[in-house]
Amino acid sequence: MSKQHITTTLNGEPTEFLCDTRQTLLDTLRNELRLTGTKEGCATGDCGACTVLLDGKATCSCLVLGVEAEGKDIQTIEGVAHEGELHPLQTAFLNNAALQCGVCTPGIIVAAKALLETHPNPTEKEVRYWLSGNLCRCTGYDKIIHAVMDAASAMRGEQP
Amino acid sequence: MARVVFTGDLIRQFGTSELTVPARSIKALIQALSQQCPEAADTLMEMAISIDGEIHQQAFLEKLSEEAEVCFIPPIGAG
Amino acid sequence: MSAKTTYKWIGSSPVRPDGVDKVTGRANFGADHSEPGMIYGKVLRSPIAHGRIQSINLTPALQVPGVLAAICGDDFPDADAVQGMSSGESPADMRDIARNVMARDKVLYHGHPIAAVAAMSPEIADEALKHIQVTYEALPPVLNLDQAMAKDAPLLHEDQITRGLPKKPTQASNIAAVLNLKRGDLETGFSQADIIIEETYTTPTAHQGYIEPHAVIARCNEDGRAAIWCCTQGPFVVRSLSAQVLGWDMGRIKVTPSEIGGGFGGKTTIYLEPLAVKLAEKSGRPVKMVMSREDVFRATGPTSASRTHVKLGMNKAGKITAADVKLECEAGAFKGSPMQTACMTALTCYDLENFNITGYDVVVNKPKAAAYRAPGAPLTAFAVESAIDQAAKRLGLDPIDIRLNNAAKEGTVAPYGAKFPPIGLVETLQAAKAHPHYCAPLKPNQGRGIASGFWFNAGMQSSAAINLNENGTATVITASPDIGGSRASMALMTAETLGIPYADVNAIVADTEAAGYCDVTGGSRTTFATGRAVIMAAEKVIVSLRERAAALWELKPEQVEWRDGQAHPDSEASAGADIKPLSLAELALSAAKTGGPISAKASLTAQGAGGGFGTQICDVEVDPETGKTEIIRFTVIQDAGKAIHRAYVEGQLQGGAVQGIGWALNEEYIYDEKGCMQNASFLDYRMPVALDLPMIDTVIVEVPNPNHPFGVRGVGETPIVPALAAVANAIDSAVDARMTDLPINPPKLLKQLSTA
Repeated sequence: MSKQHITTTLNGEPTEFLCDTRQTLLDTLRNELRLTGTKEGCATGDCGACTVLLDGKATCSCLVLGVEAEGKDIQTIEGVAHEGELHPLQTAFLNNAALQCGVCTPGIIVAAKALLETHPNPTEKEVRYWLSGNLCRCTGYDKIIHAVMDAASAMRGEQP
Repeated sequence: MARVVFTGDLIRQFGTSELTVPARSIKALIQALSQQCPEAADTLMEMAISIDGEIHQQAFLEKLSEEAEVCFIPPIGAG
Repeated sequence: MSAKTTYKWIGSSPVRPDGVDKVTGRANFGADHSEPGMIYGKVLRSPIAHGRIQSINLTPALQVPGVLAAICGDDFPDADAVQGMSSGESPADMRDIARNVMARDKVLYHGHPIAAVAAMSPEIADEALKHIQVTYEALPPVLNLDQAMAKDAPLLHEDQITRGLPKKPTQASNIAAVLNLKRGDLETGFSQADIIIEETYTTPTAHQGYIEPHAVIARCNEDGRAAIWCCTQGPFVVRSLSAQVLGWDMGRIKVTPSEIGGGFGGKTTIYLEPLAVKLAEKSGRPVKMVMSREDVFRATGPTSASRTHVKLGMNKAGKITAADVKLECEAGAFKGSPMQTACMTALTCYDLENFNITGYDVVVNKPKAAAYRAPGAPLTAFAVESAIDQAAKRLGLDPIDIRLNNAAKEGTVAPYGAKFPPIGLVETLQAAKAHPHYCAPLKPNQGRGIASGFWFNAGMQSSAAINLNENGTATVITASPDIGGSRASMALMTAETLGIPYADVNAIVADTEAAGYCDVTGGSRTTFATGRAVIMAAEKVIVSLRERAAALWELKPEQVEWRDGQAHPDSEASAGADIKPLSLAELALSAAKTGGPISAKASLTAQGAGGGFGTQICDVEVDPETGKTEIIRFTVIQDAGKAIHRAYVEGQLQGGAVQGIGWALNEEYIYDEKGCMQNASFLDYRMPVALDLPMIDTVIVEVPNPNHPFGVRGVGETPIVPALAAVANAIDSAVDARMTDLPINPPKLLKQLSTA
């Protein structure tokens, strides 16, 4: 089976890759592009560990084919920190101890980034609703919600 | 004299749930008990041991006081 | 050391050393690694729950282009000949493990591995599996306790004789073991009771639910040595168990633990590792194997389904006069449910004169049970804590007061015979009673439940090494995989002991060649036991530092003290002389001239782990139209001995409680009549999501454990134990519905409400 040549924008950079037509975007990112920050937890779109932003929208990359990336804009966890500086979400996760094993963390940070880009002042309930597609088994979500609210406040310029 | 308490299969093997044994270390105690009941030798080495209330896993060289209380309990798994 | 000691670093919540890698996606988990020339392994799993394997033909699979190796049970040494080497497992367990990772004569559960292939791509490997020809003699499956224990039940193991009975049986049975703990006289005790609660409680098969599926890469070199990269709670356990299954000397195997995406006990054993090594050996290529989520559910240890019958006698004053507990546990395909620890913890919160606890370990045609967070304790705690709540309601007594009335304390003899050293149950109950949650007002259809629980916490073996760098920083090396922030705790304990800043300590997790032997990260043992090894190593480093300073000052080492990260001459030696203290950094910088690099190692079998008690308060609101239960408030109160890293202790309390909430409300394995799991996905195996929960409040009680320099007790496991009953008790308080069968999902609760 011959591979398809795909052109896309990945974390702000023009990117080309080859992928099998049966491969998911998740497999393509991890195995063809060696970007292993996006994780596979279930491969059926139920856990959110594979969350990426596809044209700005939080999407399970295991439910998208690699070939569907043609001409689209993809953001992964690897693109969240910018030029050596952590994103406020990443800083907030560290300061709020919002990760234990850390495997769900990339998916949650990417999903939360999409939330805060469209809803800069979410309530606790809105944050919980938005993140309900991201499973975490370690934390019970408490410190994750605190971290997202903390990051939102920082991004609104409310912290010194 | 050590006061020894058994649980599980050891009760059947020793025919009792309690014994007193003159022993001043776990090693000596297990040796004496294994001599008394060779069938129990392997089980004795597998079990967790509480010495005067403190639970030990892999106990062997621990010393026993004059009136030590030793309980053989099933090994405790880790989750 | 006392509870009042003020520490510079212990008890703070700094950022963890692996934190930046984890929030940027850089950290490498099991499936994130690659090797040059790597190929892909897949497992063929049994389509039936019980059967004899008549033949396996791998040849057609090997003929598929791109397939480089195929294996089955015949490629491994005879399972009965596997000799046990001690790594916490007995020889008999090794025979079961060998059969569990690859079926031999029988398949014992739907999903049981029968064969495996390695090929150039995962797609080719999947295709090759379809070409493997297997014939079975199907046998009737045994799918629950009653089927397994029935007279003339089909036997899973024809040579299994029940252990633990007063008289050794002659006939084989599906009951693998029986345990009995008793004290006093039940008849007398029940005669003293004013009320008797008698009830049967059931819990379903539930999975640990870690988000990261099992993953391994194995490489076999031309000199016969193998390297395994895998996600595991214990690299040394992987080495030992894999070597035994393969029939290899374990010196041939090096195990590197990846970062691990959750374990909760489920990754303290092996599944794929020996298969990957064998495929690597046969193909001459590194082999990567990653489980699908479906395979994780079907074929890795869930925890046992259980049935507990409780008969509880209580007098009007709220004193428990007698307790009779009978527990039956599904072990899955091989013996070894957590029945024993379930029995040992069932009544351990209480000081009782008369009790009888009997447990049955029963095999059924389901996956072999694996450890899950305080294995066994949640099963009996659900039953006993529910029964106590029922008694409290019947007598009109406060549920916390009843527990205080019967609470185990220092000196109480536990049901398993050991006398308690200092423990903190009473303190957690008092903290619960005083907490604002306990008297917060409730609205209609809302209710409040209380429950307590206990877990032993383990000690076991740990090693640590500390190397001082020329710039005065320290590297701490252990082989304790970091599941919840333990690297930060090791760094905190090192910083506190040496007297240097936390930022100057780098704690790393190393492989089985670079680090000393270490038992699993699990059993709530890591901060306790590996922490003690780290502290011992740091104290040895201080001995060296004092020797170096003494040599420089031409004093004896006994004349040098170590304080606040510096060497000081003692008061006698400094009298009249002007000797400036030497910092760790100065001594490290001059180490080459004073004797060489400064480092130290320590290893121990840590005894004296302090048991952990906890009490939880749960508020729910039940929708009487839909039967849906919402958790509206939850407080976890637990004795940590001493919280080394406060935020990570809070995290354990919150995470454990939420697993218990999921188990109480939604989680269960649903099987069809053929023994095939129907809900093997995260969609239908419903774990809590963010919207299901409120913030989880935590209260850390500290009754120090005298056997740890900082007073540490393990905390990781206890928080799951009380949660099941706390939820059930809250639901009963809300809508007067005593639910004795978990999970309490909406259809079940609605049915109970409609028949009331």
